[in-house]
Amino acid sequence: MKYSENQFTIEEVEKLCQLYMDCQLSVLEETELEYVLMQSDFDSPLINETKEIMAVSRSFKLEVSKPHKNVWSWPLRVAACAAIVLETFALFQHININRDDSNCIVYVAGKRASAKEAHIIAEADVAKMQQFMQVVNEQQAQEEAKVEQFMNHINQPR
Amino acid sequence: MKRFAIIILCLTTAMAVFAKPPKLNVEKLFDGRFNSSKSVTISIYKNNGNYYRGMTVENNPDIIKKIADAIEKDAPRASNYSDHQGSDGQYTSLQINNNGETIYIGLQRDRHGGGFFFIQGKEKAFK
Repeated sequence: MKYSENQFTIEEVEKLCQLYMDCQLSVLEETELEYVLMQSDFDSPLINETKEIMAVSRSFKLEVSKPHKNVWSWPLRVAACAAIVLETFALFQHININRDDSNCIVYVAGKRASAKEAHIIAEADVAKMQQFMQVVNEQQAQEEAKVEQFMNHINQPR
Repeated sequence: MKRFAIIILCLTTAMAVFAKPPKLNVEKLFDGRFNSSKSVTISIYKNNGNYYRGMTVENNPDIIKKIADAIEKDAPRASNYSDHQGSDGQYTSLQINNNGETIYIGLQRDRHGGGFFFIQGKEKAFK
């Protein structure tokens, strides 16, 4: 391809643009054409369209060829991961701490009790539960003692 | 970014695997369906890592039956089950192990269609 703008006529440039549009130019030829179009004042719908496409293509290339790596990227990623993991851990700790706080909800006959009343009722219920467990344990112990007594009676030599 | 997403995914998966809720039938009774019932007192109490849920029912055999049915459904999972008729009513008790802790479930039925029902255990047992 020729390098100087002076050596091109508008027809030639249009022909080259058409080839560009048809993807018939090599990468080097496309670059040369782009240079020629930037330096020239040729004006036609095809040339303008080619210029626009070249601009879009160039911006896309710039985006793609952005440098991805820098010296700090890996340490920063590690630090970010560590920070997120620690934050997650702290959040779970916080949730657990909140759960450890005394918390009480009571409904009496379809109505929610006040916080003070709820604590009194809940504590009474817990006491009732402990009494229940005691009765069940005593009952189980009695039953086991009865079974043991029965077995001893059966195994006694006559 | 991919690595970060994978780390977070692994962490959440590990947590989900290690902490498995028991999904008991008796727990479903505290889904709010009896909160507005006139014959029921419901208490939910958390204190120092202990989790207690209790229900006192007065003269309502239907609710008592629902509780008894839920207990019977959970009974096969119990490590300890007892049922006896005392002078002041029928006592049904279950112990279910989950997450290395024991969940205690009890129902005391009186002769008037009422009763006292509870689920109690360390919070860890319910996670």
